Amino acid sequence: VSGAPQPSGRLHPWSWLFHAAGALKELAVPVLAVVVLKRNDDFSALGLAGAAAALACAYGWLRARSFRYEVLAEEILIREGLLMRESRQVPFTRVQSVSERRGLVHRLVGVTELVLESGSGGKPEAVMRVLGPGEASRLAEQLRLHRAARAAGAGEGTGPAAEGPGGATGRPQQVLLTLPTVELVKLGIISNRGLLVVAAGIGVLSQYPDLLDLVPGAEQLAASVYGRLAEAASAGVVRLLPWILGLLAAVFVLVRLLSLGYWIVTQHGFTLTRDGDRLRVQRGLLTRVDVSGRVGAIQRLVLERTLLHRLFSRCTLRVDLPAALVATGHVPRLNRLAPIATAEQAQALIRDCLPGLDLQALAWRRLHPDAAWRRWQRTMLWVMPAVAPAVALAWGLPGLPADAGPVALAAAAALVAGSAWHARLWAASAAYAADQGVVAWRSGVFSKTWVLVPEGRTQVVTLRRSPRDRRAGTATLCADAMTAAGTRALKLPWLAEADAAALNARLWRANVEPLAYNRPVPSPGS
Amino acid sequence: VLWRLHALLLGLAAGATAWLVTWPILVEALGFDGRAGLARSSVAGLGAGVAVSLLLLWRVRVAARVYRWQHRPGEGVVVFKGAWWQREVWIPMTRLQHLDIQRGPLERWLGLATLELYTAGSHEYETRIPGLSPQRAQALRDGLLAELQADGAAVRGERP
Repeated sequence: VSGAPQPSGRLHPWSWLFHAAGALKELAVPVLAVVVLKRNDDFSALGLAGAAAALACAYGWLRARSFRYEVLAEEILIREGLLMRESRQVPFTRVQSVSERRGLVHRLVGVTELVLESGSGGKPEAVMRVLGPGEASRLAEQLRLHRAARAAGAGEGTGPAAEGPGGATGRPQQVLLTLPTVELVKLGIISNRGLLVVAAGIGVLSQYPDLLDLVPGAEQLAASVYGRLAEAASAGVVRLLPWILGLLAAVFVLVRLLSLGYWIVTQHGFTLTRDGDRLRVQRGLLTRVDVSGRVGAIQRLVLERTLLHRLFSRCTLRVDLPAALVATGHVPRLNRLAPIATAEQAQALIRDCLPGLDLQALAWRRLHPDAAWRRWQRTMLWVMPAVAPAVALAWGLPGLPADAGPVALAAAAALVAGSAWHARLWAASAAYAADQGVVAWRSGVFSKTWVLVPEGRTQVVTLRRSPRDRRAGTATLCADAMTAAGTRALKLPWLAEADAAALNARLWRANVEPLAYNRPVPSPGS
Repeated sequence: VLWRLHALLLGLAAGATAWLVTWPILVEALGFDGRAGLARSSVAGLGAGVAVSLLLLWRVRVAARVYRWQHRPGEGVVVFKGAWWQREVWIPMTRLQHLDIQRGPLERWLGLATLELYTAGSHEYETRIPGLSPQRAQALRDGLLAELQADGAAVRGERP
């Protein structure tokens, strides 16, 4: 590497702060725990916190100082590292997505964190933590120009060769979707995101139960609620019902409030724009996030309508782009094309991403006639072992209220009958389609989901047959694509065996004859 | 033949593990009443080990008998496996990222090799074809690589 030019560009002078913050995050939980739990022993706790902060600052300063970069015509040179010094060349052609993140502190200081990623998985190609606003926009612009030049070179005949004075593709940026605050409020009511916050809170409390002491009156409240519950329980299970319902309602409201906050903070000012082949999302109240990805690289679109979505006649549209195989910390990525949208907006977006697709005209095919029966059996397989002992205990255990046994039996019977009904409705609505260049799957009774995978995007396809499947003449087809790590792009259960084989043959052909597939009008002769 | 050796070894290993696991449990259950108790429990444990290894042997043999793979020239590789729970894995040539031949110490001793096929997917990105002879694994890999290169050339040639 001695012959290569040495990069001389430096990060923004405030970079040490953000490197230090990153290091401090690693130390935060143990230090915080010690500081909170040893409140009486101020000196050592403060000293520990101070030492951790000083250590992080020193590390951040050294780390930021050692980072050098240089933007050339075709690539970026990077040299970084304290002990292990690493030199890298990142060619612009490798950069698939650029994401910018500006947190509250970033915005106060006036800087941006820039992450360059390739679609191949693994770590990001480069993390520029942090750049001044001028530098960041210069680098982003250079990447854009490079892409535009490459696009013009690749599609000489078709693409407009207009290079406007401002640069870029010549086509204007097109705003596809913006979300006003009213929509975000609806999203907060619809989504269960707050549940994650509650779960995290419970997790922290179970680790450090002493934290509860910090909340005044928490213990008394818990004790009084528990006392009333015990009183009601002794009078019979039926008397307990209003309590259970009230508690559920309280949790429901709390979860909604938390999700409301979450969505407003993360999605405030959501704007989805399209610039040529690129989709770009800008969002965030405190931390501004700017992510983009290629339309041509879309692996999967998922449209969701839960019961609450339907109440507001809204839906959520998610997208899967080639993702890093290794989860890479907190790099934001483009995963929600529309956190909340009306059905018409979502369909317009789908048409934008998969040109020529008409959702209404897809030729849906049903599952095997046995699907309802099979699904019910599968549910019973895990419901019965849980329910049967519970009912037996409710009958037999001494000390329970007298009506416990019959109530438990009635609940179990309702569960069995309800799941049979649910399985029937599910099988009636579940369907797949291999049509118009996509494989589509729709399912769900109360919460409905549509999955769309472009035909040329599938990778390994697996057909599975259990002994039951072979007797019934059914099969399960799973298709893989470059979606988020560990997720399965498509799973079609209980297809008729012939249908599964035909779909597999179709996907195989799309992959084996990629050239024929990519032609705009496939000629049957070739 | 190679497969049976493989199966035998697997069965023996599993049996030994089963014996090691059941033995202390039985010792605990039957009590340490002198040497006789210890001997009784170890014989019982050995019995359990043999039973488990026979069961596994049979299962591996059945699995080995139905295991098939197929190289479709110019198209890709298909693997058929599982006797009761059957799986067909279809790996298109155009999706292959890279190929590995792996030979662990056991496989080297038995003269076997495993070919690993990688795609860029997110769930089933790795497929293994075990129990090949080294020559066969090498030949299959070379064949696939040559086809991959020819494929790439065709793609480059046909683009304007």
